[in-house]
Amino acid sequence: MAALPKRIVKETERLSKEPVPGISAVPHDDNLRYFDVTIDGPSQSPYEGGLFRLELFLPDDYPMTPPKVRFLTKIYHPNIDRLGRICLDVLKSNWSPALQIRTILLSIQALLGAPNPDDPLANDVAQAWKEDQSKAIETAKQWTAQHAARPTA
Amino acid sequence: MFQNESRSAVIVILPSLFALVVVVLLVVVCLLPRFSRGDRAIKKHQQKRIECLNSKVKAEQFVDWAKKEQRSRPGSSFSTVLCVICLEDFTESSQIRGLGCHHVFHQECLDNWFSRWNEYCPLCHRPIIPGAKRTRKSRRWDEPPPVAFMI
Repeated sequence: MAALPKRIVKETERLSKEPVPGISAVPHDDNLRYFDVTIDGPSQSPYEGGLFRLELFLPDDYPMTPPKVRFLTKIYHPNIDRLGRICLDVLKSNWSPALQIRTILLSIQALLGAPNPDDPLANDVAQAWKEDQSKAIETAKQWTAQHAARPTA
Repeated sequence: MFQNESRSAVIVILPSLFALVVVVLLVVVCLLPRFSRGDRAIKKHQQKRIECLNSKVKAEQFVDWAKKEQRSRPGSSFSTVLCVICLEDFTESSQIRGLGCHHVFHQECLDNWFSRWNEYCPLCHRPIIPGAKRTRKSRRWDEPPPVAFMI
């Protein structure tokens, strides 16, 4: 495997030295481009209290191309589909090499706090969200309790 | 009986193997030049883009750019400026490109970004080539062509 670019080394160091509150990203020992990520559900959102696991992979041409990120924890959200794929502009056409792992994860955390059913990825969820928002939020809370419960210490 | 089976195996399998090898060879011979032609076209196009960039956005040493910026915008300080693409600090002799929006990147980093059909500054999304219309990222070579072209 080619040597790890300095940029990735720097980002990884900073992630561990100055972690973002409510977010953790730890690279695998055997593949330093593959990160185990957890994001706390934002307060005052249906995901509050949940701990969401994601996987993040930095492709060979990172940072010219965006990281690949996917939810591993099941989540009821109009912009996240059942495979955990995320509909977020900065992960696709609005990617810029000035963005970093930490800023992308912050954007994903913000997306949890501001679901956007007008730009859906999970069509059924977006539909439900538009038809009866309070019921959809209730479902999201149930899914959070059921699938994103924190491991008890 | 075994002899019969092995003979029929030789009669059936060998020619079909031969035919398969011929087909694979034909496909490779037909497609290889096409791929390399595509690669060459992409490289040529990228080269053209960089030439265009060279004529519109000068590459220079960081120290020269910083002096000019300080003259045009007094009070700006450049002691700890880093390139957001590679996260490395600039040294005085770093070869850089300073854009019209006053953002600065290593020449190598920016050229890599621009040659991939990205038209905007990584920091503020203003056009890299001054005066160019702010467009969405133009189509990349590795994406399938639009349906209209496929028909």
